[in-house]
Amino acid sequence: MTIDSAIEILRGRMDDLGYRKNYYPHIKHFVLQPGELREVNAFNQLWILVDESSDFSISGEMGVYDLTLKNVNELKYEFQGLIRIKNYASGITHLRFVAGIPKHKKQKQNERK
Amino acid sequence: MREEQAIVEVIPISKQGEIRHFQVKVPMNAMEVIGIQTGVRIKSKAALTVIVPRDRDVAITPSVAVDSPGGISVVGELKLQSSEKPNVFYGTLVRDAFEEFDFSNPFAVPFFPEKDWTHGNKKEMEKLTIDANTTVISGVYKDNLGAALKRDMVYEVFLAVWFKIETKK
Repeated sequence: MTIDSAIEILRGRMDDLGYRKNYYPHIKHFVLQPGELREVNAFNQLWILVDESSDFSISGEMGVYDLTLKNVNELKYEFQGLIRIKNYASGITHLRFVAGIPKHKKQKQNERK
Repeated sequence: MREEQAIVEVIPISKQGEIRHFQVKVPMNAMEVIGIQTGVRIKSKAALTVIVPRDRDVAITPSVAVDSPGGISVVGELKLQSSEKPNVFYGTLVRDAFEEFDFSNPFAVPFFPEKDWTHGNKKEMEKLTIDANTTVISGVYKDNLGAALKRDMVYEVFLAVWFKIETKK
């Protein structure tokens, strides 16, 4: 998936979830050390996976992305809640997401003014 | 006129730690999700080994099932997500309420006849009120039973989603 298409998907999904334009689109680029397990609190946020590789595993609230798994009938590119990222590779792995972070109510009100 | 309607989804599980995604179609005239009901039917229990000794004509059936869940009541984890504002609106641990009883063996329950509220025949739904303004409800089920026993377990998870629907007079 390209960053452009991830941004487009994020825009549509945030609109469906009722945020419209009231969110910050962030590009997250992780640099994972060999065997590293990283946990990210993305509660109330929406993350779209950009990179595809069998070097890492990502699990979120509603599914997983792991090309090595054989007991899954679908892989997810959209993550929210507590996101767990595991680097399987023996070297450093780069991993990109596009994240939608909702704005606070105060910021929304200021924008209306 | 308002009525209630249930959509039933059967989720077959056969692999250890299986993660299965599914979709529940929402009726066009659905207004609210008013309840969720879950159940489980373990098929592996019925997979008994039959031993036939050479000096006998009658097969001996062991009293304990080969793939008995062995006291694990939580069979898995279920989550439901709307495509619209409610987002992830439901999560539950699916339990086998009758894991202590082997109903697959008819000889085990001669004094426990089936009635309306026994043997998992009738269950109550979990009440909730969620806007049903979505085309599909996405769901994910994660196996716990097979993962805990470290072997493939074959069973079916039943999910009933109850809707309040608007019908014309």
